[in-house]
Order: sequence, then C-alpha cells, then structure tokens
Amino acid sequence: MRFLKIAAFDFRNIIRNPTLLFSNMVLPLVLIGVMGFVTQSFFGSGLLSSYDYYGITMITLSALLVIMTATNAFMEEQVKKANIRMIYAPIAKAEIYLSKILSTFLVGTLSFIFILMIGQYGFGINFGGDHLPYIVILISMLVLFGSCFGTMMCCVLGDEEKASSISQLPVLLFSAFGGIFFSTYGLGKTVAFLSNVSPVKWIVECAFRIIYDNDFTLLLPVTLSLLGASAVCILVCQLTFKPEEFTC
Amino acid sequence: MLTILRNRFLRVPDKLYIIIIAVVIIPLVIGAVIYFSGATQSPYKIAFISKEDAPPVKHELIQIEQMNERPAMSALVMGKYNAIVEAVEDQKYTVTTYKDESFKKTIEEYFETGKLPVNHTTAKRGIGTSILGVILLIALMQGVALTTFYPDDRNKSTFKRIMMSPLTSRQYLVAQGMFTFSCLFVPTYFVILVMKICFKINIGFGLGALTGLLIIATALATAFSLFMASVMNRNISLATSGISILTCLLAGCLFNYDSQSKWLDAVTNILPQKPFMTLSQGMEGGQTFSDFPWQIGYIVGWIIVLWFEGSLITKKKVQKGIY
Repeated sequence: MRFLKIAAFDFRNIIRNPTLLFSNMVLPLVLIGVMGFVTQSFFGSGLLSSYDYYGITMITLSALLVIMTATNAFMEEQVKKANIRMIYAPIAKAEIYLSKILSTFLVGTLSFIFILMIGQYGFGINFGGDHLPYIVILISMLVLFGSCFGTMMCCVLGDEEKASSISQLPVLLFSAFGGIFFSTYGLGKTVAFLSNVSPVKWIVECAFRIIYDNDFTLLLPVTLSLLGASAVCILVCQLTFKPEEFTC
Repeated sequence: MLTILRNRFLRVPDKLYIIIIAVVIIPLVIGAVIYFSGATQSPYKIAFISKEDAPPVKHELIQIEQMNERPAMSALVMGKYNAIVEAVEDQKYTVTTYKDESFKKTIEEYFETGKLPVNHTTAKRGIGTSILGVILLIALMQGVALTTFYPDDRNKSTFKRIMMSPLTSRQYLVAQGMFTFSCLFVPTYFVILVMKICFKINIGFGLGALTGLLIIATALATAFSLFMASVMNRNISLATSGISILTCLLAGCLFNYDSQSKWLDAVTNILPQKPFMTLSQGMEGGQTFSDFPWQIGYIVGWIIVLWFEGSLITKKKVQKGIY
C-alpha cells in the first residue's frame, strides 16, 4: 500500500513536468511526422508509406528514450530532496527505485498506447490493424526495459545528467545499426554483424513481421529477452543503489 | 575570466564523464560514420522469383538473389531487398517495391531490356558533407553536456558568489564558452586528422577548409548550448537533444530530401544548419569560403544572436536576483 502511494506520487510528478510530458506524448508524433515528410519522396506505390515505416521505427526510438524520463523521475534536483527524506524513513531501498520504474513504465505505456491509437485511427498509419494489441505489448515491454535501464544507470552513476547523456549514446548507436534511420542491409559484413547484435533491429523486425506477414515467431523471444534484460537491470539496481551516498 | 576557465579544466576530473564523452565517445561515433560512409554499397538488391530461369542479365550495380518462393514482405520493408521481381511470362515481369514509381520503372526496364535507363542514379552527396552533417548534430546535442558546469554552478549557488565578485556574467559566459568550444573542437578535429593522415581516408576536404568548417560547426553548437543553458532551468539536455534532432533532420543534415512544400522550405531556410550544409557541399565541390559570403554571414549572425540572447537573459536574471 505504501509502495503504491510512493509510485502514485512519482506518477503525478512525471505528469506535472511539461518537458517530460512533451517528450513522451508529442515528440514521437512530431518525429514520425518530420521523418515521414522528409523521406516521402523515397517511398511510393501505396504498399508502404514513409509514415508507416518511420511510425514503427520512431516509436521504437522514443520508447527507448524513456530512459531519459526514468533518469529524470529518479534524480532530478527537486525529486532528489524528496528521495532523501524517504531514505530516512523506514522504507526498503528497493521501494524507492521500484516506484520510479513503475511510474515511468505507466506513463510511457499509457502515452505510447495513446500515440499508437492516434497514429492508426487518426492519421491512418499502418500499426498492424487488428494486430495492434501485439504491437502495444511489444512497445510496452520496450518501455519497461527503458525504465529499468534508466533507473539502473542512475543507481550506477548517481547523477541525472551523467546517466542520461551517457545512455543516450548507446541508444543512438544501437538505433543507427538497428536500421532506425536507414536500412543497414548492403553496408558490408561488419555492419550486418553489428545490426544483428543490436536489440533495436530485432524489435523493429518483430514489429514489421507482425504487421506485414502476420508472423508472430519473434514476438515471444523478443518480449522474453526484454523482460529478462529488465530483471537484470533491477538486480543491478538492488546491488548498486546506496541510499547513504545519495546526497545533494 | 582566465580563473574561471582554469577552474573549468580543474573541475574536469570531478565530472569524469565529460572527458568520456568528449575524448572517447564523440570521436568513436565520428570514426564509425567515416568508416561506414566509405563502405561500398550495392544500390539495388533484388529478389528474383523464378523456378528455372537464371536472371536474364548481370550488372555491377544490381545484386540479384534468385529464389523459389516470395520472401516475406517484412524483408522488403526492412530493406533487405529493394524490390521483388517475379517472372510472369516470357519477357514480362512484375515488380513489387515500396520505393517510388521511377525506381519501379527502372527495374522493370532493366529486366525487360537488360539495360539500366541512362538517368537511373540520383545525385549523391559527398562523403565529407555527410560526415559534417553528423558531426554538427552530435556537437549540438553534446554541447550542453559540456556546458554542465554553468547550470551546476547555479544549482550549488556558486554562481551567485561569483557574481558578487568583479566578474560580470558576460565574462563568465565567455570563459564557459571557451571551455565548451575547446572540448568540442579539439577531440573532433583530432579524430578527423588521424583518419585523414594515418588511415589515409578521403574526407573530401583539404585541411584548411576542414578546420574552417569545424570551427563554424562547433562555434554554433557552443552558442546554442550557452543559450539553452541560460534559458532553461530544468531538463536542459532533454530539450536540447529534441530541438537538435528535429532541426537537423529538417535542415537535411542526415540526408538530402526534396520538399514539395513552399512553406516548409521557408521554415527550414531559417535554420542555420541549412546554409552550413550548402557551404560544406560547395566546399567539397571545390569552391572556397569566399564563394559563400551570404551563408557564412548568416551562420555567424545566428551565433552572435544566440550568444547575445543567452548573455542578455543571464544578465537579466542576475539583476532580478533569480540566482
């Protein structure tokens, strides 16, 4: 009960922060719009529009960038002070970071459900039609991973700016090699290898297979590995989070 | 002022991640970009579905993979193949692709006649310009991380104490700007030099032109990050990343695009990144700085405006006693 109260408070904190709200709800739509518009001339013939392609890839990218919401929810200057008070209260340290993960996950999932619905029914982007729920599951698992990873980076590095600027770079690298911005096929063997290593590639491929081939073979392995990776992140949080070093 | 600058460098070990970003990661990304833009690419990858016929003709620009069954549509979407070609009857083929009509026509014509149409290639951007586009994006995004001491000083009330001294807020920002600029410029320049001289990779520019262009790019990023750090109090890095990615995409830093809309052109022409891309493309084509007085003037104008706005806002805030 107490845990839920803390989580609810964190949830309200995120919602009240205009920058976080903007980056989770509006920015993905703007990104889809801009990328779709910019690359419109490369696509044609109605099979797949630029918006269909960048709809999936940009949502994947923004779902990963939930990391920054997590670091912010955990260690932003104003939140930090409240956290310090909690540290002195008889609360298990796991409750402190788990509440951040839960609240970020809820905000992220809700906003991406909203974006997927708006995209599919409002703007006519192909997010799978009847298969939309599966895409929602996939993206929410990704959001869960992002929340856990961001919180883990905070626990390890102990500073918000540090955590968010360092985690940005692997996200961008994995995204670039995962084919978020451009197709990575035909760029040689090294890139092909890096692309197969990039988790982003498998998420995007899983989504495209569901949407265009009704092929669900990747869904289970991808969601399970995301869950597993999230569990590892939580474990690292438990091991590295030291409330006594958590000072302003 | 020099004391502030020295203080920045002395505090670097406290914020070790700054060094990690500046000295390791930025050059790594840039190196990767340079390496991969050098990698050769077969422009057309085609899945040819036919039970017995071998593909009719061979061409170095076209990579054909023959198979018995249609590949999954997602392979087409992911770009594993650019087109699926199916033999319907003698000399007739159906082409399935998500690319535009002219591409479809090109492939159809190739399979029917065995030749590529004359004007099949699109104008390509030089390697140096692509690299500089990415560098500009990274510099704009990371500039704020390298300006972190300034918001840090404000949060710790150090800034308030500094303002009590004879130092003005403008001098403080100059020192901070010098620090950000050198942390952005030196490692980036160094990596490109190593790439150019040690690995003999063709960057597309001479040394002088490269230095000039990098100075412009990093100065813009510095002015922008000082501006953002002055305007915003919270979520600086989040907002800066968002703005940088969007404006760089619209200005065509990552790839060239033709827009069909006039009003969008009007909006993107305001951005300083656009003249920068024009400038670097022109330089790569063999022109010199003196051929682009308007573009350079415009970028410098942006730098000055961002800088003055930033220092004005800081001065106002200091006078109002906000810090």
